[in-house]
Amino acid sequence: MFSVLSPSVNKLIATALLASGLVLSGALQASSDQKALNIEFTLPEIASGQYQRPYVAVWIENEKGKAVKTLAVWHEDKKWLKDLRRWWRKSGRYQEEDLDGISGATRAPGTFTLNWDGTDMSGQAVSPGKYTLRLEASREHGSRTQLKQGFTLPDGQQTYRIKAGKELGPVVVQQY
Amino acid sequence: MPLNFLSDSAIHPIKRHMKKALLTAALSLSASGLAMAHPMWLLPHEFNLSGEEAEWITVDASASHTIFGVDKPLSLDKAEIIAPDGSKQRVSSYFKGHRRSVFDLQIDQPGTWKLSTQRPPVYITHYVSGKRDAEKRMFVDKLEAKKRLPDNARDVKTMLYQISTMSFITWQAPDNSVLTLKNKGLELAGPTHPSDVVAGEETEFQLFMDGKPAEDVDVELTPHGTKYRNDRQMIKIKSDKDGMVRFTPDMAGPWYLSAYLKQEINNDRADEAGHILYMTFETQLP
Repeated sequence: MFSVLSPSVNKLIATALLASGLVLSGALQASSDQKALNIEFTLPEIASGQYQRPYVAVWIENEKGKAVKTLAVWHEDKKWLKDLRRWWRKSGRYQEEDLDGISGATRAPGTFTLNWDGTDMSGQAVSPGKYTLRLEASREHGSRTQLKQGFTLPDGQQTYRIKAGKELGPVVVQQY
Repeated sequence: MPLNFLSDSAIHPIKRHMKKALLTAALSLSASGLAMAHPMWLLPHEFNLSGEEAEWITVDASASHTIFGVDKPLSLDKAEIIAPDGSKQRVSSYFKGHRRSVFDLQIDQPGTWKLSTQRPPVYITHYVSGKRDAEKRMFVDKLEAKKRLPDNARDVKTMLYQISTMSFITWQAPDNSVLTLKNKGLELAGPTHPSDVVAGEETEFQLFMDGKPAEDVDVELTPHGTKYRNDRQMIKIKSDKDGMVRFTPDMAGPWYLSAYLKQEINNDRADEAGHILYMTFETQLP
């Protein structure tokens, strides 16, 4: 039932539950499992003599372009993290976010799924408004691709399709 | 612009005599002494760093009329490096070639670093003489000019030029400690941090003279790579009454800013001061 509610409503309910002492593990579980977005994207196969797996970042920005939450950062040596130029400038360099659990090694070509639960980097549900999903991939000896999709919270169920770029295949975004 | 005649070597007496005869020729031939006339720049090869360990960067230092086209090597003996914690260091060693100087610097503190160097102050006395009102100049201050100027010199004006150049490097998040005003001479500060300029986004810099917002500063902003395009794509603006300049860079990459402010000083040594501030900054990809 919680998944159909907007994050702010969910937060209210969670707060009410806490306040009334009715803290049920199931309710909290539902809160953190809530999906605002489901993102399916592809790292394309690129025939190249010098293929290195791309550095990838997926994150959410608010209407003012401020980073709200990072969903994934895949990298090797952090020396080159700056090559995820927008993500580094908007989020990485401030090191405000706990990236444990979402950062990891670079991935081989394939299809990947990420979920956003509608919370910001401190775990609080974001306020209603306009947001942008951003994907950035940068590859040594390769190119840099940025894809984005604007969306509104709350909203009805939506499906967005983002056209592929050089380093990122087509993206399907499902909003709940 | 009178800056074309700034020259350390011109102070040398023999060269000064040569100068009279060779003035026109020297200008077109870019005699080595005129190196001092060229806009000087420091160009780091990285402006923003993300690593977990201290990192070496390399910096080119040259003076040229083309944007970042190496031409005359800079002396870096007086160059100053300020770390985010405010500690200062000199360039430990550098290579001075025929066309540029190069130094390496270890960035071992997170935050924003400032690299800068300045020329020794230069006095130039401008005057007009002869039947044809020929414009002439001597590299002397007012006191010296009184002794040396010909009797028929007219429209005499002595300028003091103060020239500096700077650039900024940021490891991890930018901070403002090295941008704190010293309230002396022509200075530049935010609101836009020099490590936060982005193509397609409005940038705002504020200029200050002796700590107060400086109005009517002539500012020129040019993106790198003029060599490979026909249009210089230079932005020319004047600072407003609050010392602000606003512009939207369209091209990512290193940009060169020059700011020029003339100021009445009217002391024993000069009538006016010309303050020139150069800055190299990176416009980042959006």
